[in-house]
Parts: sequence; C-alpha cells; structure tokens
Amino acid sequence: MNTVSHALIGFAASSIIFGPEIARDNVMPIILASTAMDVDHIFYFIKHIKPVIKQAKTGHTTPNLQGIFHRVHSQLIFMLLMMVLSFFIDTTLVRIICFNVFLHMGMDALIDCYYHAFKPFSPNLLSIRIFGDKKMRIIADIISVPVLTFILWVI
Amino acid sequence: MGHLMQKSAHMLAIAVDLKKHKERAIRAGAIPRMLSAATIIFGIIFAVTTKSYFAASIQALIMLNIADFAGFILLKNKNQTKLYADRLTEAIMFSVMPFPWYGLVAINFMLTIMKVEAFKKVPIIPLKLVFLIYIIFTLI
Repeated sequence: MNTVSHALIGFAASSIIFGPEIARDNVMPIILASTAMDVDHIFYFIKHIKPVIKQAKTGHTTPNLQGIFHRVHSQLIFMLLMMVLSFFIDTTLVRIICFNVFLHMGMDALIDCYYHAFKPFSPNLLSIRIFGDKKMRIIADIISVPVLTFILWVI
Repeated sequence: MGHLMQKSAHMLAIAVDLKKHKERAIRAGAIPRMLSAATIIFGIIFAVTTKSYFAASIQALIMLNIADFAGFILLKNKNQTKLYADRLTEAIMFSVMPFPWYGLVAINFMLTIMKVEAFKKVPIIPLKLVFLIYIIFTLI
C-alpha cells in the first residue's frame, strides 16, 4: 500500500479511537508513525530502480522490497521500546504511535503480495493478498488516496 | 483448486524473478489466507470501535476468537501467515490498551520467533481469549 494512504488511514483511525481533537493535536506523530516504517523500501529502490519501474507497471512486488522494519524481530524491539517509553512519556502519545505503526504493518500484510516477515529465522514467504496480485491491487492503491481524503474531509 | 493456486503461485514466482524463492513459493491455500485476513480485519475493527462502540468491539472480539479456534482446528497453529497475522492483530488491538497488555504482546512476539525458528512446540499465550475472559469478568 502506498505511503500517503497509510498516513490517511492512520489519521482517520486515530480520529475515531482517540477523538478528532487529540488526533489533530498529534498530527505529526501520527503521520510519522504511519509512514516512517516505509523508509526501509528506499534502500531497495536505490539498488533496483529498473525492476521497481517494471513492478509498478505489472503490479507485482517482490518480498525483498520490505526491509528490516517490516520484520517480526524489529516489531518485537519496537514493542519493548514502546513499553519502556510508556513509563516516561505521555501514554496517549505512546498509544497513538504504537497503534499507527502496527496499523501500517496490518494493512501491508493484508494487501501486499509477499513478505518475509520471519526472515532471519525462517525464509518462508507469507501471503494474504485480499486484493489479489495485479490489477485490483493497483486500482485499490490509486483509489485509496482520493477516497480516504474524501472520508477525512467529511469527518 | 489447491493445486491450481500452488501452480499459479509458482508461475508468479518465476514471473517476478524470484528464482531463489521458487522452491519455496507459496504453498498456503485459501483457508490460511482467509483466516489471516479475517483476523487482521476484526483486530482493526476491535481497535477502532473499542472506545466508542463497545458492543461492536465485543462482537469483533468474539469473531476473532472464532477465527482463532478455526485456525487451531484447521491449521493446527503451524501456518506462519496465521501466526504473523495473530501477532499483528494483538499488537493493533492492545496498542490502545494500558501497560500489562503491551508486555504480553511482546512476550507473544518472542514466543512466536522461538516457535518459528526451532522449538515447534512452544505454546503461545491465547491473548485474545484471555482478553475476552477478562472482559466478561469485568462486566460481571
């Protein structure tokens, strides 16, 4: 799923859970938490620019696209970090960050073709693909941005 | 149907040049995918409705436990997609809850890694069931 959709979904869900005022006050943490995990794609994009363009046209993705932040051990470390932080900083902020990060992971797991979630421990490819492999995925990716923007505008 | 899906997954692995992964191309059928998708979707519904629409969140929690039970019966808790979906769901659900649940989710992540890597018989805490029981006792 594209990064803009992640940010919009994160903001919409946070508005419903924590209330629109808290979501508006914490708009930067929400956007950062829901998009920062995609930083690990950049290394793959830089190294494999041609396959990336080809994949964008066909709708296929490779599991190598998802780097270290999309793996279970990183998520475990992040969860432990959030647990420690919850003792020291505002728990609402910790909850907002934690929820948005894992919402991002959940949406990626639902929509992306393949991913190596357990990679250092298991080489198996995991897959859910609720929108299938090719066209529906691209269509959902394109449509999601205006639809989510409209929903946020209505809210 | 299962054979067809396996074949199409194999062909897709070749098409996107996943030569390394060709041998391990997805063997998962429709059931683990459906159960994993249902788990994540109900987890998100639970998290979104838990503060404003309590009745809806309870229903989502019950559906999650039904999906877990179906996974336990059909997949015998070995499917990695379902294992990962379960951990993500727990993280989404309990990230809006206070401290103790964070710790339990982290423990479950550790147990899952142990289960996947070497120790196949490592038990994983059924957090969703524990939470359902906790909610029932709280309501009573």
